[in-house]
Amino acid sequence: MMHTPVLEEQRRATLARALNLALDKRRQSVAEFPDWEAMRQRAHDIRAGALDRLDEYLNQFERAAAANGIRVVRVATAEEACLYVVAIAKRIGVTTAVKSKSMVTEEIHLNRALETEGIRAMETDLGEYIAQLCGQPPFHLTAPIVHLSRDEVGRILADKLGVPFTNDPTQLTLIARDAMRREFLTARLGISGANFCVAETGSLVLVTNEGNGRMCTTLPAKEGPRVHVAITGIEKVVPALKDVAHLLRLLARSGSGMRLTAYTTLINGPRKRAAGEETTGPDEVHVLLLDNGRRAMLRDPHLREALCCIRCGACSNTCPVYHRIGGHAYQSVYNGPIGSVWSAALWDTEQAATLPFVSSLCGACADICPVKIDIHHALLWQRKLAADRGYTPRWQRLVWWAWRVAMSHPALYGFGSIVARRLFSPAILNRLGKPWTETRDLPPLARKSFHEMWKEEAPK
Amino acid sequence: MQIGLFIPCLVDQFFPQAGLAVARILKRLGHSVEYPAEQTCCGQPAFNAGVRSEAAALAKRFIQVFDRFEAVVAPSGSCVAMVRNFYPELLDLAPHSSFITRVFEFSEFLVDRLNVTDLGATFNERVTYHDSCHLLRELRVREQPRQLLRAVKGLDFVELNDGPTCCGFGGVFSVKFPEVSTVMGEDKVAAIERTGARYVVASDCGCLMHIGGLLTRRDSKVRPIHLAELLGGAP
Ligand code: SF4
Repeated sequence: MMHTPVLEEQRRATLARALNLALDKRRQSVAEFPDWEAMRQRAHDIRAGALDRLDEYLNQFERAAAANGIRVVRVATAEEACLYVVAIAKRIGVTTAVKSKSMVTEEIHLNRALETEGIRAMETDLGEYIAQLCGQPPFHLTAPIVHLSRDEVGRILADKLGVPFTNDPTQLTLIARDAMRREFLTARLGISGANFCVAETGSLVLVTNEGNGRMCTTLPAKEGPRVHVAITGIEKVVPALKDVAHLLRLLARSGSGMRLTAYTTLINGPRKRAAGEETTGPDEVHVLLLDNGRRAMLRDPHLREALCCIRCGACSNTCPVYHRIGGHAYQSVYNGPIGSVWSAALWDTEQAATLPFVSSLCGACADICPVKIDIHHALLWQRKLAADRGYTPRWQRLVWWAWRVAMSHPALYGFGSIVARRLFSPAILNRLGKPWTETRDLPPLARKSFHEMWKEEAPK
Repeated sequence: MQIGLFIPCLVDQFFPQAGLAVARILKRLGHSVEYPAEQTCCGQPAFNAGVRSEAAALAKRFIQVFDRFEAVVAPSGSCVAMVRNFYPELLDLAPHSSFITRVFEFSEFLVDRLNVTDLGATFNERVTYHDSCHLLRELRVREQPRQLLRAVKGLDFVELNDGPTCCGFGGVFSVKFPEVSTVMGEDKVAAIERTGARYVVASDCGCLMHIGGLLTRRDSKVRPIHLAELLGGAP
């Protein structure tokens, strides 16, 4: 069984401060809308409606994007996606790529694939950049270093970049910006994800808070061919721009409590005119639409809902388990409540199959989700799938079988209950009750069970 | 009304007084209360473990045992949530099947079905209330227990300002991931102690067992008590 260590106290406090701040800000910005519940429902209907007619919208997107000069490619697996990007890098002869934050590229381990081919992928989202500097995976869907304090960030930058230590956020941002600027101005390969693909117009929508997404996709380099590759899941398609407008109102508010992210970028294709006339904008834009297990999710009515996710991160912010164990404990690219649903759906491994069990099923995630995914019910369903796939050890199945047999025979249950009362003194119960009793007391068994009491004297 | 009393395993084994209090209150209100002795478990533990075939066997049995009653009442939000929200999926029932709509958690039964909020109880203590997750988020029962508590004479009610967040019980979760569960419970207990209450009330014995186990381990003066027991008073 997976061991899930609790973060040490200091780390827990740092994390809780950041997550609770986001939750507080969310509460305030949501309070601006008396009809928030109706907005959630509409957001859900938009996403679910798009999934209901996914192929139709994907085809429409593909046609509209192609008309804008975007090359749309369907990729089935992570390997296929990585190979495609590597091939582009080789064709245009670059050894560096700038990247805007993207969970899908984490999912396919693109950086690793590029590195084995001698291509350095540089993360340009500040949090992701720092995570990359210290070789850590993102801690959170939207906030990769939410668990680090300002001091720690300052020390990492001082260590890795050889700059003087500071813990002033403005200074820290400037230092990182300085390091990135040089790359931005010469980069010829930009890699991003996409928050939405708009079927109606063939546009990509990208939201960021630092403007780095724009630098990665406009590629202001002066020399040579410039290419932007966006990699995203097939589920990200939405019918129309007005749907995007609605979803954007919920996305940032839910995740960070901001009304809107600082930058919302709409990408409608490569540079239209010759390089001399229009200086920014890539020569080519490629969109990879990745399956990698999503179609299987789509076929399962219980998992289909999870594809509605707009990756706001609110479910992690509110999850009492995430608060205590943190993102890295999940040992999966996708962490937190929805991450557990996704991980178990995308990867058929014991580790991923365990994740849905690391939940008290409290349902706080479903209550906060802006697109109304029944996240904890999806976790329950994943538990069933885990058992069906044989991830529940045989001895456990046997225990459940025996338990069911006992519970099907009231006499057996009643007998057990009486025997337990005679045999199990509090001391024995305490010993049998491990690991519960290591940190918590067990109440003594009642002198008589309700059943016995009722038989003797039902209250008048 | 002909009421069937559903006493979940934890109540049967550890907190029989809560069950007796439910029976006493319902009888006092003029209803006939019966405890079908052949009842056992609703199947939730197996369901939550993903072992649905074993859960389904017990769910079917549960319906057989309780089908003859006009209403089924239990002092547990979690077990009622199992029946109301998950039996339809588990047994392929219509969500509004006549059986499912007849199963109630104790506080919602009193307030929503019987329109009773004042049971004439007296309790001269400061009390806080823990929202158990399944009662709150599966059954959407939030106000009913508070209405019942506010009607108690002498009772000084204080809200628990912590979310409301899970106490960390989560059934098998509490033994499968004891460290995480404990830390969640410790934070819950700290929030309870901050209210200055002498009693923490809940409507689920799982939460009471977890919170209570942490309270006694740290020699706290706060006592856990089931809502029915507080309302039912002494016989
Ligand atoms: S599941 Fe919902 S709350 Fe969680 S990240 Fe996705 S959209 Fe946000």
